[in-house]
Amino acid sequence: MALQDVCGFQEIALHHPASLSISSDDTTLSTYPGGKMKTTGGQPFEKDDGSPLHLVLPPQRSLVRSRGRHFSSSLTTIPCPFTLSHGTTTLGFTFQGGVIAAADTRASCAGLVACPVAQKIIPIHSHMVVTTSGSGADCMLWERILAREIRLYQLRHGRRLSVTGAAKLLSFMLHPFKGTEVCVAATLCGWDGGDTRSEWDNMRKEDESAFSPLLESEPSASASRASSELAIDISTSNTETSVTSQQADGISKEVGGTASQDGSDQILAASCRSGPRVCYVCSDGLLLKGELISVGSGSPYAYSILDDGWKWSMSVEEAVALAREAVYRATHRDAYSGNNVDLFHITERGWCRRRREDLKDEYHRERRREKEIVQQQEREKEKRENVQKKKTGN
Amino acid sequence: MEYLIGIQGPDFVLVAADNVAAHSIIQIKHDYDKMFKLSEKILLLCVGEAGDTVQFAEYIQKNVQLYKMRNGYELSPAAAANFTRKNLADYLRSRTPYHVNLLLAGYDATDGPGLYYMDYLSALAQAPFAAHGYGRFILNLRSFTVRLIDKEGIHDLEKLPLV
Repeated sequence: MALQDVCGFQEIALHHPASLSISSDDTTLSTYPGGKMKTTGGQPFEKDDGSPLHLVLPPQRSLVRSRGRHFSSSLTTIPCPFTLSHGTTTLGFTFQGGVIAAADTRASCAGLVACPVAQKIIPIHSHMVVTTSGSGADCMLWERILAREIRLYQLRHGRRLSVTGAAKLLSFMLHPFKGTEVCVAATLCGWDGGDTRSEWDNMRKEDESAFSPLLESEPSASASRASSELAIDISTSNTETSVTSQQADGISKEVGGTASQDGSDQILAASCRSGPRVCYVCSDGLLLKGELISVGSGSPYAYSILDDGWKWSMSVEEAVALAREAVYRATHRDAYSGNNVDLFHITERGWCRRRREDLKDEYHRERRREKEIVQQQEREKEKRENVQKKKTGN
Repeated sequence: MEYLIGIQGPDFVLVAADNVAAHSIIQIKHDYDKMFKLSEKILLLCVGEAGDTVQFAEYIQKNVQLYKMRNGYELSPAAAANFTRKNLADYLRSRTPYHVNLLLAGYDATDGPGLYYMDYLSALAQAPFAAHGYGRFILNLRSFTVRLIDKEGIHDLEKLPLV
């Protein structure tokens, strides 16, 4: 996508997302909601010129919505070649110390564990991550699209899009595909904040020392993503370390090097409410803002742990422990979740990532603890019996 | 299931909606707001398919606000209800229908209070009381009897008439 844009492979009309709304003349009320993704004519592949996505849409036939008997039509959807199934446990919640996002790492396909070390939490920019659930391919694509749009917004307006704004944008982009097989259930977790140039400069100085030991180096999948995200950035004048796998570092440094802001942006930034935010976006079109959100086949188990232990006034350690426990319990009982747990913590200063932890070790630790408790109880019981015997003996 | 209810009085309209946002078996949110403020004196309550509700209701909301900006005065509740109905009807036979059930409540300076019931097939009716959801059939009874069953047996409570 980014490469296409840079090489001019596709026609690029720089449409601002806000200009998509109204296409009719001024004297009547607009009768066109939702964006310009409607297709016209009977061409085999309809090019969509009006939206920032510039995606080539599939032929009309497959866009018929399969909803309800009332609206059935003579056209049928193209049948899916294999059953899509999605199992995962992801969660995100806010508390006084920021936002915690956690997920398991099992990518399953019906009964097969396709990948035991998948990465389900993807950073979008320095202060926001997205947890993915649903179809893996769809999630990957839509999150890259979202990352691109947020980056463009940032370059045009000089400030980061808020979490609710990003959620709205994603929901808006997914709406035309409602009724098709696109299945994306994403939780956007992040910190809304006013940005000023000075904040970025301070962050740049701190980032080099603070974030480096915390961030893990990732296997090849995310390294390639890191380099492609760096490629998305157009104004690369100030990137000193261009080849790192630390995406937060890369993006925040690039942001610091972009064009200067004028005063009006700072006023806008100051008036935005800052703080931790969690939003759930679904390809159905559902958009929910909340404090505590869990998605996936393991979410009922995770919800039970989270509802029990969540308090706004938790400390960071308590929150991390709660998230770990919730994912662990869900992976224990849900067949489609498992392997490791990824945990991200987002604060005012950006996101930082905890070391990926194998839940097998946690399981064994718990079994050992239980065994020790049982042994201790037996020892005490024996002691009591011995004492009693001595008494009756005497 | 999502529930909306509206009751029109002599100089007011009372509307209520439940606060649950559920996704299959899980209640994701307990404090979800289903009311959309179209103008100072018009409220739109919207339930139905996930995504469609917010998309459609916000579209109507923005258009009603746009009308005020362009013309300097607000749309009346009757006009807003008919505009909503027209949009819903236009999309009904397109490839992308909106599956939403609505209640529109408003107060007009000349006509007084008005409650409009609209369903997903874009049937519009002004009614003194209306509801959507599992509870929508209760309102058709002129009076109802309440009986209590406990371990002592069946007790008849006083018959409660609806005025």
